[in-house]
Amino acid sequence: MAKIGGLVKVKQNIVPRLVVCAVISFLCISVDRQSNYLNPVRETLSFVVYPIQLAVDLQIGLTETISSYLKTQKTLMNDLEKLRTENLQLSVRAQRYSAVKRENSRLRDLLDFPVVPDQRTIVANILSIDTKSGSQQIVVNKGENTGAQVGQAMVDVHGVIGQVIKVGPYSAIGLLITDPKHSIPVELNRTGLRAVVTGIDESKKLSLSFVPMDADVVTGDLVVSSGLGNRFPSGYPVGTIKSVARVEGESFADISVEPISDLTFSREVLLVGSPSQNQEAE
Amino acid sequence: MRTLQTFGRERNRSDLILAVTSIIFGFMLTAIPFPDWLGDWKPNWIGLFVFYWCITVPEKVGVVFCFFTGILLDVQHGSSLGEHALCLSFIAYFAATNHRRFILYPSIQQSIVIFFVTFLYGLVIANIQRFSSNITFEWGVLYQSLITAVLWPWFQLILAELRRLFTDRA
Repeated sequence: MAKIGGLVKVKQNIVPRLVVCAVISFLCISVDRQSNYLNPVRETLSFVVYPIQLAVDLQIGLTETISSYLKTQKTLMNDLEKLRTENLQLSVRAQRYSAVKRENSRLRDLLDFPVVPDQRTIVANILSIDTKSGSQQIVVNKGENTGAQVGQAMVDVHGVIGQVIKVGPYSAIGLLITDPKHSIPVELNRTGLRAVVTGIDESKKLSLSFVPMDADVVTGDLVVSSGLGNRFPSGYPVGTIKSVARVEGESFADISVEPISDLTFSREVLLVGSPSQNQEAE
Repeated sequence: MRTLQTFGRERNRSDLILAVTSIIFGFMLTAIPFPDWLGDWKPNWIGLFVFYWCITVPEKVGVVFCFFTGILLDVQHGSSLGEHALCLSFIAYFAATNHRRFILYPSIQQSIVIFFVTFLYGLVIANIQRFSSNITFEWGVLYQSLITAVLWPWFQLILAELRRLFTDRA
């Protein structure tokens, strides 16, 4: 009897409840689209969600630890050998880097150019990757607690992968360069030609917009961030030119770019620079 | 009579605890990263859990419960607050008004219903996101609802067994 009573009650209440929930949802969506009034709510609730994500990340970490225990000695020796060689090559390059850096700052002094300070970096782990078509975002495990800020560039070992768009207390959300809503100012390393790289709705593909038909662009050219717009630091690789199509009658060439870093394989990202610091540098 | 009623109440309470626990588990499943080429085939875990509990204990897990689950899902996904809350509220409404009919369906027919529900869910989410950017129709939505529908019969069996185990002990 009680159960039937309960069911009838549910039926009577359900439509008003649905209407209230739907109206609140619509309000939330429109408010959240236009402004950041709801950010405090999001931050508070992220305290609830964050432990869940952390738990999953811990498990993934555990699996990695176990699989590293199970590696044979031969693989480890091979890895060690490879890393030693790589380390040697990199340290040789780093020696040249410091010399070049000194020379650069001396030349800048001569020309009365301000010296660009070194960018501050934060190392973060990727907690989750959400690369559904339509929105391509990642969540990393560093937030306000370590000084992550909205607008910082996300870089991995190969090059730029995106930028921070939301910062919670203990995590941050980054928009990938492959997201259709994302654009990044770039230049071609070979010619210095400036353009904008925009994400299209496919992973592992970007498009180079607004490049004139007669511009000197060849397949294989390296595309690096130009640092215009004060958002991304300059000189980080973004991708390589994959194909150039010049369709007659169009005003711009149709150029596709292959992102330099493959997100499927990276677990660590660097959050580089802060918007205020970049502005000081300008 | 009283003992029966208290028994019912206890059962309800343990149902609610089990529902909350399983949805937390659902959030964990959602957080597990999938490789890029499998990204579209990730099942709609939260949709599955919410639908199961809505048709099994509609007097406990209702529209408001699903609304708050949806808000949390929005926080996890980083989408605008309210997108998933809206869809899950409608799923709860659909489940609550049709649960007695749905339970009687054979499992193939249930899977077909699940397919259409998750397909609509995905389409609505995609369309809300289209207000701000120009994205085309995605096959991803179709794949996701297909895999969710295929998973449903096993999923439902496992949860029903779990529920029997926990509520018998209570």
